[in-house]
Amino acid sequence: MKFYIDDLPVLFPYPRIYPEQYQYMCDLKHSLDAGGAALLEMPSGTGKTISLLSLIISYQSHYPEHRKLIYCSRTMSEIDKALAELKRLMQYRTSQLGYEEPFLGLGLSSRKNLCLHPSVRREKNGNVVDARCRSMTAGFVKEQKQAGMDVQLCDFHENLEDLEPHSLVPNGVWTLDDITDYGTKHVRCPYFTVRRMLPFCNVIIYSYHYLLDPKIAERVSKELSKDCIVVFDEAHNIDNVCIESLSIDLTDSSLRKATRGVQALEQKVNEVKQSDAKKLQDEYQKLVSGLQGANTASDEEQFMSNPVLPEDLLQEAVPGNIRRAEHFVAFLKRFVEYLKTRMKVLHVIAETPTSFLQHVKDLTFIDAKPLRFCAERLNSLVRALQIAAVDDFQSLQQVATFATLVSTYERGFVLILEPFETENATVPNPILHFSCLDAAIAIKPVFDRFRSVIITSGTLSPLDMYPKMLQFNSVIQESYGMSLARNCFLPMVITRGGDQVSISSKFEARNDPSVVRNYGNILIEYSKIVPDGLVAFFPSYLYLESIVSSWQSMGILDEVWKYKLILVETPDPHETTLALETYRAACSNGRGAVLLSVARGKVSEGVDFDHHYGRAVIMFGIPYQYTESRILKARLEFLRDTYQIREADFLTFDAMRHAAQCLGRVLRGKDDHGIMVLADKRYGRSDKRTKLPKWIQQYITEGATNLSTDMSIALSKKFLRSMAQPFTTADQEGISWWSFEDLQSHQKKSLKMKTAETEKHDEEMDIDMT
Amino acid sequence: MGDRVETFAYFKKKLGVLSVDTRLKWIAEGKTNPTMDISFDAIANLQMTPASSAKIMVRVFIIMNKGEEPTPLVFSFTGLNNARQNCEMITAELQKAITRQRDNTVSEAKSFGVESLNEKNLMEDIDLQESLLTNNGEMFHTFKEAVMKGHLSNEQFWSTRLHLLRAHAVERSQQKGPYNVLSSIKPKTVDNQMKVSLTRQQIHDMFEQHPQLRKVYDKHVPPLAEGEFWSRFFLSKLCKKFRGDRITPMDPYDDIMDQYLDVDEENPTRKDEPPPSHVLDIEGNIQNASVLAELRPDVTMRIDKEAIPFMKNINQLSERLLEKSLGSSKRLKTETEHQYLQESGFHDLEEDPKDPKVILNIQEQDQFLEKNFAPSSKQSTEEPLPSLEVLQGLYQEESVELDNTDRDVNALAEAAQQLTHAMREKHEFETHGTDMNVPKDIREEVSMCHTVSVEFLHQFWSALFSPNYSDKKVMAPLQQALLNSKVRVDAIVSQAKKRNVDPTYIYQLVSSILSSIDVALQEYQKRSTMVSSS
Repeated sequence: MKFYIDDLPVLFPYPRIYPEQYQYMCDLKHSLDAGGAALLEMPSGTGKTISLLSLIISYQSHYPEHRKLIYCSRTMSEIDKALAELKRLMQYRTSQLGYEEPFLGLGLSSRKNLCLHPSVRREKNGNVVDARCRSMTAGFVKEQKQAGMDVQLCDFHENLEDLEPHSLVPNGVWTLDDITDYGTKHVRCPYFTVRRMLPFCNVIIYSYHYLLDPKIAERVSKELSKDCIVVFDEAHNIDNVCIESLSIDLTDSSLRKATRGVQALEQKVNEVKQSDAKKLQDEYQKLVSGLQGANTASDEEQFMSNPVLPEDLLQEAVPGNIRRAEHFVAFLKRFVEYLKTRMKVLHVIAETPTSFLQHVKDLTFIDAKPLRFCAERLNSLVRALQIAAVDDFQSLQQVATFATLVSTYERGFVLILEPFETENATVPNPILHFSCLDAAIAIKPVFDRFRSVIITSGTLSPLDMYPKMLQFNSVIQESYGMSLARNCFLPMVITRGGDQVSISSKFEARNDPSVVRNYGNILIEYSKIVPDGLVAFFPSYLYLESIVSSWQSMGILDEVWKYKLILVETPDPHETTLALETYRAACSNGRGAVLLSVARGKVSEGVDFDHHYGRAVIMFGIPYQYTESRILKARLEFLRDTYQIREADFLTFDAMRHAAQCLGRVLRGKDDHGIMVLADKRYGRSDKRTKLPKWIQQYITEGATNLSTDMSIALSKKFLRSMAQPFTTADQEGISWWSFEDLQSHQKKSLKMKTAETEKHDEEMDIDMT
Repeated sequence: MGDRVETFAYFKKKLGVLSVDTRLKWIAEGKTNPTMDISFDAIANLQMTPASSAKIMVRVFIIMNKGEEPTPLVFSFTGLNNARQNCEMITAELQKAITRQRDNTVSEAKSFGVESLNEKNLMEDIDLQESLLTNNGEMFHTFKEAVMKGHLSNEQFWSTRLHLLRAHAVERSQQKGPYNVLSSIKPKTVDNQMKVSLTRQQIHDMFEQHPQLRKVYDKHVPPLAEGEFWSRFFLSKLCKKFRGDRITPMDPYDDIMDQYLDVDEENPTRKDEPPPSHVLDIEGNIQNASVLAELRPDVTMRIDKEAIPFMKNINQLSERLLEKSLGSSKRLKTETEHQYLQESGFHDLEEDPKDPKVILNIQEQDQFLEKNFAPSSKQSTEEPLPSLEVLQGLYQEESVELDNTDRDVNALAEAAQQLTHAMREKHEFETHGTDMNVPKDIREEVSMCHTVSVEFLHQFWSALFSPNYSDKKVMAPLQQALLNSKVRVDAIVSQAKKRNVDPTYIYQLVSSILSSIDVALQEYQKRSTMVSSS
């Protein structure tokens, strides 16, 4: 349907609309008009993505600025789904407008996911794919080939060279499958096609990392203009992405590999010195004259880019003591050796970057300044040496990144050395965490650079947490309810088992046999009554594993097997994908299945369990983070001291957003239905419940907040039966969705109210004046 | 599938290797390609020379082309080592393979199509009717009275129950997926000894669900006794592995079973499977953006390597069970973006599909209606009857605002009294039932007679209003049956009299059915005179 928001004609690809979709679009439009950041929480499964896309595309095409949309999502699955939605929207627009708009929408994923090269694509590790790809596509490789050397080039990449750089693909929306199919057909590399076409796109859909992680953002997203509309979808976890993009872990094995890398580098330097000393001399001259290395090679060929944010880059020449290649190699060697000795310590150390640098200086006489240039210097050297097989250097790259980060940032970071993996371990397996504690650092350039930034998700409650953590002021901050003609989801809190013993995943209680048995009974009872798919989430892999093995020995799984197939999420992604496929097939085929999954795991992000793929979701326990984690403790302290966020508040907020995220997986559309069970007595308290999104809170009745297993089963049975009753159009019209007429009458009403308000306001003004 | 069995055998006096695995093959000595390659479903019959005979031969009857007489092929074992044993082994294996094949084809044939639901097939499917009758005792009684006693033909009886047959056919065609056998076998400890009772079916299912177990069994059971094998198996780590249990260092050691612990059942389909859909691809999600190195998750989000296999086993078991019920499709189902688009759309936001209505025009409508009900010429026949809403609208003035009614104490009291009276009656009926003086068998007779009469009435009216009701052949027996019903009532009454039951009471019970029968008979009389007069 086509309707107006103020002066903007919006094309929405359905003849009906959910009221909250309309509200959402109105707010979105106003925030785009005003500029700045917006924080919008929209119920799961009410078509957030499609509303967002249809408004922004309408906005793009209506106003002369034609602001580009940068749509960031968490996972490839979500990118692909958004592309599919965009494709549907553009098809609809074409059919309505009667002509095809000149429009290009592309999605970017990693080389690993897009590669078509017959041997490279088989590599398991994404970094290996990147390295092998670079070794076949870098500019110097081509030069070597032309010089008659025996090097391998990638046909898929070479074929792109002959094309005009701005028309590698025809207009249209290209889903990931589309672009790889196109690439296969025309023998062209999908990854480079997308990368090179990014400046010409109307809509780009890619991962957060391409904007937030300075190591990638610099390369991929540099050319985007200030005008762009940036959307972070499913953004409830954005603070963690920010933090991860500036954090790095070093282990014994990575340091060993780094040593090998330095040795290989040294050898190469010596070789080149013998054969082609001019090469190194040129590089030295360049560094002396202060030329930043990056401008000589195109961005996409860079071995690595600077891990710090653009504004923190030092705009000066590389310090003298690391300009010569052999000096730099020696410098690196010294630094790696230093790190190795640090790792030998057998007690936990937590320190600030400043104290770390002081220690480095005391022991090795290495200054902070050259460390800061480490990443850039390594990059320049690798390029000068024309090293193709960069596989060995990954760990060295890590060390250089670490060096640059640790010497650039003082505040908001912590270094933690943990010599033992677990409390009880006796054999040391040290790890050095360099952790960012402040999510605001990584996202600040995004807020500074782009005029509009939209942060949206199904679970952003409590809304005021995000502006605090990420340090921004929002223009609009809104949480929408869900208008339903019938309560199509049933949220419940089970606080005790059938034997009235309270249940909880609290650390002291979680392995208590009665809790384990009661949790098991919940699973058994629900697998009896729920048709098709049933998903259960646990707070952690550790708990999942221990409870599944106890259930097995208690015979609880035997009981579940009678009704459903059982599938378990494992940390092995390939295995989990297969399990998911089996799960979905079993749901579709009527056999029915239970999926045991982890609230912070990979399944809970990005895989939907809509319709029969999930008729019920059970959250066993509260998905708190591991509170003994030293990194978490440091972060909590930082949040308290810097942003005045209380530890308990943050922990509960963090747990509840993950729980809510899991619950939201079961709904898509208001004609879907599902049961949501929170099984822990602590959910009964209001401090937990008030941190759930408004749209879930709205439908938790007081009677459903303190149930025993049997009571919840009775409620669920009743719910499922009522969902099986016919649900006619007449029941829904005007409540759960609006037809075009409903929308118009709503617009008229709100216009009237607005004018009445302004009139009233005017009158008041009159009175004031007299 | 069974294992491969092979042995030497002569065919047309040439020596060769006869083998049975997925097909029956005979390879002449010194050649690599089979001279004879026969699929099991082509085999019509098997014959083996008796044990007493000196000659040892197997005759396999093959149907070359459909409809032709089977041609015999003779394989001879005479003069070879272990001839008798080999011959028996081959025959046994062949027999097994053939029955397996037949079972498969039968279950395929049972697969369910729309055609099997049409009227003709339902009416002819005696098997289906029988199974419905055995499941529905009440209907069986009626059937006994009405059909077996010859008042109604079988077709007549079922013609009014097509919908039940159809529902039953659908119900029967529902398959139950295979279950996890190992989880249903519960070893019991009696006198400090573990006891397991296994049925044939359970063993069969175990072999099917865990092909590896079959191999272990085949390899070790001649030396081991059957019982010993199973008792060792259920205590072993291998069993725990199959069950998806966690294996701990505390578990007992078993030299035979433990050999197979690390043998992973090779899964040939895994290699060349198509990549998963992007919508589910967890691996792709993790590698979505190139990250220098994954950060190490905290302790609770890690799993020790030892736990992964047992979770994998649970997943594999589910996968295997599902593959069984889906048929051995290579990949369960791959979802594409296109499919995702279709599934993920907001269906309630779409326009409702057009109502697929077909307007039926009935010619000469007044034939079917009583004279005085025929629509007047003014009323257009195409105009539908006013809906309930419209009617309510018409009588709106009459509607009563419940809040605004005057309080009429008398009326309220009266209403309350009526209610209590009704409730008391209901209560009395429920506790005492009807008259307790009537003996049980008489009561049953009455109710049986009632049901059967209703059945006849049903048949009668549907025949009367069917287009070819004038057919005397159909109507006469029905009329007779109704008359018989009256006779039966009389019989019951006379029986009741003997037992000192008040006959008027019986008449009271059956009065409604009797009057229905009278009305039906009168109507029939009227019609037949009309027909004959016209």
